[in-house]
Formats: sequence, structure tokens, C-alpha cells
Amino acid sequence: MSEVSLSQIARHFLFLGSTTLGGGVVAHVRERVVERLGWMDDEEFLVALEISQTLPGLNAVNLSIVVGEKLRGSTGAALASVCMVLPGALILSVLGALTVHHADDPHLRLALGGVAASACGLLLTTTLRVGEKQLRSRQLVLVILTVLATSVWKVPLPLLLATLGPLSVWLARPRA
Amino acid sequence: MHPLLSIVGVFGGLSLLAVGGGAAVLPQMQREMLAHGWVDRAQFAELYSLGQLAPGPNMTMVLLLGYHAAGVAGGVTALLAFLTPSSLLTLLVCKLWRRAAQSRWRLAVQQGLAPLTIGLMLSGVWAIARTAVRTPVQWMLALLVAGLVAKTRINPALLVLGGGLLALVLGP
Repeated sequence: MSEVSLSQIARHFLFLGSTTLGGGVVAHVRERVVERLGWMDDEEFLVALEISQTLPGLNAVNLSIVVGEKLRGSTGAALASVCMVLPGALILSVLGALTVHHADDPHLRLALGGVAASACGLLLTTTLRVGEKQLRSRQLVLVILTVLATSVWKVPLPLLLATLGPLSVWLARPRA
Repeated sequence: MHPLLSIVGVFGGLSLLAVGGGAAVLPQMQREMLAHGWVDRAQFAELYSLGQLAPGPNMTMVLLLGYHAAGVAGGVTALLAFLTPSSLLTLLVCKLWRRAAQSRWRLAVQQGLAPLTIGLMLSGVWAIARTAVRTPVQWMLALLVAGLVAKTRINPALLVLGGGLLALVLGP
């Protein structure tokens, strides 16, 4: 495969950043990068996805970095991730400015209340779907402990990750 | 401390704590926003939900949290601080450790952190719901959207937008 140009990376990641609405970024990236453009094969993409999901940070941004890095090194990584985030950031700036300037409008308050309640329902279903495996196995104990620690006992996140994190990884350790 | 430095500290820290994706840091993010007095609970829920209406990663909404804390410079700073540390880490791992993906310990890390991520996301739902789901109409909308997302393939962003319009029509 001939080298992918930086402008191609920019174009395709700007497209992805402006069209992936309502989650499902991973599927969109895969469709474009693997199926349409052939920049990666399935196995390479799986590796990229696994790295992105294991490390901290936003999955979509991490995935852009791994794909961009493979294509054009650090420059490609920086370009791909910036292009993934930029369109949404611009649109959010406009939305944010509008809501700040009309913050007292009762109609806007009502609509935003509905948006927030709906977003909450969305996050609930997303969580149950992503966590289906964990919620149906012995790991449920760890899920419940995390909820209690966070919402009831108000344990700071760094402390939680430093204690429950290693324990949970140890429980999932590779067995010979 | 200069407000922009506080923003760098808060969002830079959250960046490296975002195990399994951005939604995992919602509870801690809300806590820190309230502690700094940058937004109140209701504003936090509202800004989070605005993030669902824009394309790209939802958590780009940290831009708006930073804006409320310190204007335009605050917004840009928050977004960069939230994305840079985790991105540099990913780039580094990519370069140094391509075999990481095949390592059995990588799998253990991913599988081990998964229940924590799910627990943190559930706590995130609770953190948002405490202020965003209170009136009967809001309860109805939250459950309706949760059900539709589970049972249909309608784009969730459209459902969230529709929820806003429905709330407008139904009134308080």
C-alpha cells in the first residue's frame, strides 16, 4: 500500500468527527478505515481497538491516535485525533454560547430539561449494554462495590482505582 | 492559583483516570466541578447532555465546563488538558509496545478494569439523574429513551433531541 497522505488523514477523520453522532464511533471508524479505505486489515484494527480501550482516555480519540500513528507516525496520530474532535468542539461551542445567552428563557430551560433526562436514559442503556457480561458474572460484586464506593461512600476516584483496580486485575489475571 | 492552572490540573488528572472511556470519570468530574464552584449540579447535567447533541466523542463537552469556569480560554484549556495526557500515553504505548495487544496481561487489565468502568458509569447515571430526572415528564422521557435505545436502532442523538422537543410540548 502506498503511503497515505496527511491531507487524506485529515479529510477522512474530519468526516468521521462530524458524522458519528450518538455514539457508535468505533463501528464508523472500522467501516471507513478497514472496509472502505483498506488502511488496516481486521486484525490490525482489533489490535488498535484493544490498545485504545485498555488505556485511559476517550476511546474514539485513542483509536484515532493508534490508526494515525500506524499510517504516518506521530504527525498522523496528532492530525487524526484533532480532526476527530474538532467538528464536535465547534458545534458544541455554538450550542454552549446559545444556551449561555438565553439561559433564562423558560422554553429553553424546559427543552434542556428534556434533553438532560433523555441523555440520562441513553447513558443507562449504554451502560447496561456495555456491561452485560460484567453484570451477569461474579464481577457483579466489583460493579456494586464501585457504585457504593463512588456514590455512597464518596471515595475519590484515584484512591478507588489504586485499591480496587489492582485487586480486580489480579482476579482476572492470566492463568497458566 | 490562576484559574487556567486549576483547569489544567483538574482535567489533566481526569484524563488519566478515564479508564474504559470518558463516561467513567463523570462522577469524579462532577464532584470536582462542584468543589471548585465552576458549575452547579443542574448545569453539569445540562452540559453533559448537550454533549450528546454534537458529533464526535460526547465528552468533548468538557469544553463547556471549562468555558463556565474561565471563559473561552478556560474552554480550550479544559479540552486540551482532558485530551493530551491520555493521548500522549496512547501514542507512547503504540510506539514502544505494539505487542501489548497480544499480551495476556493486557487482557487481564482490560477485563479487570471493566467492572470498575461499569460501576463508575452507573454512578455517572446517578450523578446526572439526581438533578436531571425529577419531574414526572422527565421520568417518562428518561425511561422512554432508555427503552427505545435498547429496543430500536434509532440514532440516540435524535432520541435525545426528540426528548427536548417533547419536554417543550408537554410543559413542566
